[in-house]
Amino acid sequence: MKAHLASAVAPVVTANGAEVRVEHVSKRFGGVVAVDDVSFAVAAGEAVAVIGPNGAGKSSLLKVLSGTYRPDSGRIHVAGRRTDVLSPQAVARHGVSLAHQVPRAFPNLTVRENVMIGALSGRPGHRQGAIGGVEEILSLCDLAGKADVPAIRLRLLDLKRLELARALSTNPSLIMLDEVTAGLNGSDLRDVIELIRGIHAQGRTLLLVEHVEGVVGTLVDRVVVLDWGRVIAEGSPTDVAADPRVREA
Amino acid sequence: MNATSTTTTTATAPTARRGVRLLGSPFPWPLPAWTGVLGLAVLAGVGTRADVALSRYQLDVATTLLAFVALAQGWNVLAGYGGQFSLGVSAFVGTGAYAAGLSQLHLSLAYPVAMVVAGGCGGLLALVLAWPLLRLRGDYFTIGTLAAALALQAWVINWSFAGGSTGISLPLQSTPGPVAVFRLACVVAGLALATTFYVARSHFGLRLKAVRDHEAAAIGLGVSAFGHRLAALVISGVLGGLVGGVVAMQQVSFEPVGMLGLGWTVNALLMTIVGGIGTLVGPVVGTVVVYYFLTKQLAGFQSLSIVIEGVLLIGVVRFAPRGLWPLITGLPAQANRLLRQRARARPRP
Ligand SMILES: Nc1ncnc2c1ncn2[C@@H]1O[C@H](COP(=O)(O)OP(=O)(O)O)[C@@H](O)[C@H]1O
Ligand SMILES: [Mg+2]
Repeated sequence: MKAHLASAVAPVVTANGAEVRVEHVSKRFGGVVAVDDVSFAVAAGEAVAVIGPNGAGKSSLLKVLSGTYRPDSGRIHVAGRRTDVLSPQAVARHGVSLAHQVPRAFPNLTVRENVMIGALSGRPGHRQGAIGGVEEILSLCDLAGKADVPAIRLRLLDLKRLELARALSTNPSLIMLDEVTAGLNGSDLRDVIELIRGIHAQGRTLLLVEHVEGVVGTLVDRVVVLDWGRVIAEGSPTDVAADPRVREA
Repeated sequence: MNATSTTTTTATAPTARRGVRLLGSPFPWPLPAWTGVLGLAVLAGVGTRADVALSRYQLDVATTLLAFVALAQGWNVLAGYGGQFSLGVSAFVGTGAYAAGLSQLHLSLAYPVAMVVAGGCGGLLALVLAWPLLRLRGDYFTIGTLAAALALQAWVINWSFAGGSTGISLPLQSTPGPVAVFRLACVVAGLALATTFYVARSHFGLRLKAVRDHEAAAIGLGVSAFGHRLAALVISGVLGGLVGGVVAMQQVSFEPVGMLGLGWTVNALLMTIVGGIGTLVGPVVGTVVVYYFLTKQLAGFQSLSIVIEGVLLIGVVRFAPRGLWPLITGLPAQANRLLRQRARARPRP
């Protein structure tokens, strides 16, 4: 564990974090307003958490940011480029990646192959570096020993690590993690938190979604609280924890 | 980037195994161009030598076998590596056959040129069909391909320029002899094997498999799912068209009920699934088993061979769903596991 944490702090594949601006973004599913007029900004290289109760619209917001969903209104800029009008694969190539709440591996590919996909299809010009980084990502995510195992045979913890590894594999400048610590505890949880810290230390902009605020306190500088699709509070982890509206939600 | 310096230590283990584990290799690498050329050269060489040794009948059997190898591999690329289960094989075979036949009849093209036209028209049909078909996924895609194949057959049956239901006969003076057709079949099969090898081993193929396994996740990593699905469809279209060209020249005269019939589809499916879908060698094994051992050896007992084919398919799907070839290559590992279990079960002294 120690060895790859050291490499996380002194990364070989470094990224320049992207600045993110979310302006009045809304996303409806039929009658449900999952994301309701959300605006916030993240500075390049900053780590921000989005927290809120179940069904608050956190996952939907990340999927709008990743291009999976088109917002019904509003604009998104990542690293100076408007991304809400791009296809999801173009958003990915622009350097945005998302580790999903429910891990989605390529079951018939090995762990290494799973990580190679992002490296092979990543940003033009970043490809070579990303491919060189596959082994590094595998050891960073504690998957080096399982590199040749088909993903279908992984347990949940390893699937979560693989989801993180794949999100890293495109060498993103904005990495979004959707409840990657959910269901983990004890040393597993500590490992993943250290891993996230290492990913952010590489200079990437980090957007972290968590259901429980306890986890995020030590990882991020700023917290955005979402409830019923709306931003109800924003500030440092300690400020937000003290906010009466957040306690209510 | 200077990533290589730090990764060498961790990467040595898999790298060392890369060359040895040809099947189910953990690490695909871009196919060097010379392997495909080598494959073609070997097949062409074998073709030139074999024609002296083989009787007319054997040449004919070998030609058909090679055509089926190419057809099965084309379907394997689309369905096995691309996850797009097509029932439209016959549309591409028929298109290739008619393209070769009509271009020889009306444009007086030499037969090698007519072969290129056949492959080109197969690919073109794939491009045209991609527009409606690639919007469909899963079962809807399958039904769509079947509908396209049946519609094309119905249309050709009523297309008087192409001889309607009586079909066409190739001009005798420009039709290649059995030896030349056999060599064509060698080249087409070689091309199909080289292509499948490329798909199985290349970075392109790896992305295609990712799209097959989880399309949305692949897109999320920047893969153009549409581009890769299209490429697989066009590859299988070109191969189907080339097979159609070979079969047209082998049969000399043909009609739409056979040339655009579902028999091609059934055979390509049966051979690939029985041999091992999504593997390099499986479809070749499947073709030999289904065509040579069942269709040819039991030619005198046609109804019996159909029954055996059905039983074989059900048996494979039930007991070896990955096909015969993975079953065979998996035997050593299976034996190992059994031995280890036996050893563990033995009480310790
Ligand atoms: N694909 C979808 N179709 C319809 N409704 C959806 C979809 N995704 C999310 N929702 C709805 O949007 C709301 C927000 O969901 P989600 O973004 O998953 O919240 P969170 O991640 O904060 O738990 C919920 O009411 C959910 O039912
Ligand atoms: Mg969620």
